[in-house]
Amino acid sequence: MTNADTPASSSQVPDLAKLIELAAAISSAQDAMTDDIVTRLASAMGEGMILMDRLTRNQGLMSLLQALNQPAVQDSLECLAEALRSGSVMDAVNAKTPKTGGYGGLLRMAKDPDVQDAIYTLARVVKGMNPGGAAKS
Amino acid sequence: MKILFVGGGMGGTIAANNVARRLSREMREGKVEITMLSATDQHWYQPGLLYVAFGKMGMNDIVREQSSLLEPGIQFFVDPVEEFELAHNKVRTKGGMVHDYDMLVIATGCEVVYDEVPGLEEVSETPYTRDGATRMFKRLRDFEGGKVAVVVGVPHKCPIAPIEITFMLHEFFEKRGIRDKVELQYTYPIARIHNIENIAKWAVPEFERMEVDYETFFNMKEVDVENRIVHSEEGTEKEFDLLVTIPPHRGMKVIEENNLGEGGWIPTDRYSLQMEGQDNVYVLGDTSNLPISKTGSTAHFQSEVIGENIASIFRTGSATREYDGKVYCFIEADQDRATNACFNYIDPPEIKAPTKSMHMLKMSYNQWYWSSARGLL
Repeated sequence: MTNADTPASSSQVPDLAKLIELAAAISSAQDAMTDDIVTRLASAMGEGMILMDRLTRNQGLMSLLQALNQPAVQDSLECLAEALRSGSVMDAVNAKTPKTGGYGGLLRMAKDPDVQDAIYTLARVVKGMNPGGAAKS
Repeated sequence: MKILFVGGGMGGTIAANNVARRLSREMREGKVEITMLSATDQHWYQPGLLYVAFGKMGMNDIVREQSSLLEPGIQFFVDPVEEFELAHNKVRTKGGMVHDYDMLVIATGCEVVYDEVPGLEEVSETPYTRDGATRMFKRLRDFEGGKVAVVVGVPHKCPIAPIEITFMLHEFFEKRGIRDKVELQYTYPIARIHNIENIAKWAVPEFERMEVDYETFFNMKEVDVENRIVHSEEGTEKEFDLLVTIPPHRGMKVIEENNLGEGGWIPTDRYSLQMEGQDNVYVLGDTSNLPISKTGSTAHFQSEVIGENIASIFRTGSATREYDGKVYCFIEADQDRATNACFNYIDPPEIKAPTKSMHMLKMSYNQWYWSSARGLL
């Protein structure tokens, strides 16, 4: 009988050892599992599957995700993230009172080019939500 | 096309969601309308009651709002049907509404009936009803030993339940340390301990290992409540301190009252699942008169066939699939191990040795059921 005829040739021994190791790991994991753990994991998986199913079959959400994937939109999102990170936006949101108020303050804010950019962007988004609006702009 | 589902249990829900998934675009375009009529706004995972009866699950774990399980666009009414006018493609509800349809799916299910066995309801415990499952757990928890008899009525839901309950009783008492004080007796109405031959062959040595006494040809006749004895039609009797029953079932009264089927079981084509003589009426799960297992998996597999066929009829004018009788049942063999039985009209089940992995799969499925009801699994 040659080596090749034996149930496990010497070159296969390491593979078998790995399989045995894997089986031992699975067996050990099984032993560690309780019905409670299995139930919790299965519940999380089940709810996760339902959530994924709902998200992936929501055409509106999928269109939004495609839009978010565009480079220009990603740049805007990065700017938004940076603004949040820098604290300037949150400082403004958390401020109990604006630094200046009244029409004067409003006019000064409206002159700010960044604010004008933001208003223009928002206006385009709102116009785009109007059926036919996106085509006209 | 108007598709009407009567019944919001496991079969009706899975089938309605299956059709809605296949025809979601047509529903948005207003070409297809799906309506479901149910007797309740709650959806119960009925196999979970067995686990409630043994203290392994709580009632909250096995119930959801029915509307939360339905695909968007399915119109849902808690208004059970009282009259079927199949000749006019209409149903009338308890609330006085009239719903017309092009396709009708009847999935009203079945219910336990105690009146065939006098005394049974008064003195027995069962995991087949919500109140029964809760009460059974309390009785099992407080039981200190004695004679426990398992008695089986026919027909009944879940073919494996008699054997599974007996295994679980053995395990429960063993875990409580009182197994040696319990005399566990199993009875079955036919000549062997289960109507599926291979399951009977597999279960006999398991019973012997667990020291479970068994008696075949035991059809419940009446229960002597005072003396705590159950008598059989065959003239034998069993004394008991605790009587656990799988009660006989019957189709819903509304089916019988409308002359749709004797005993509440609707005559159904075993392959097409159409009601006999009614091309636009499908019958699903426990409601049919088919001589196959009345179990959730039957309703599940039938739902897929009905869902595909309704969608195909809408799109091409003809059905494409036939039901092959597929049934899949988990069998809890003890606290940590389970096996399964899978069979169809042609192939009987081959029972494999119980494993821990299969038990974990069953525990997992108890959670995944809600994905299944939504038509995802």
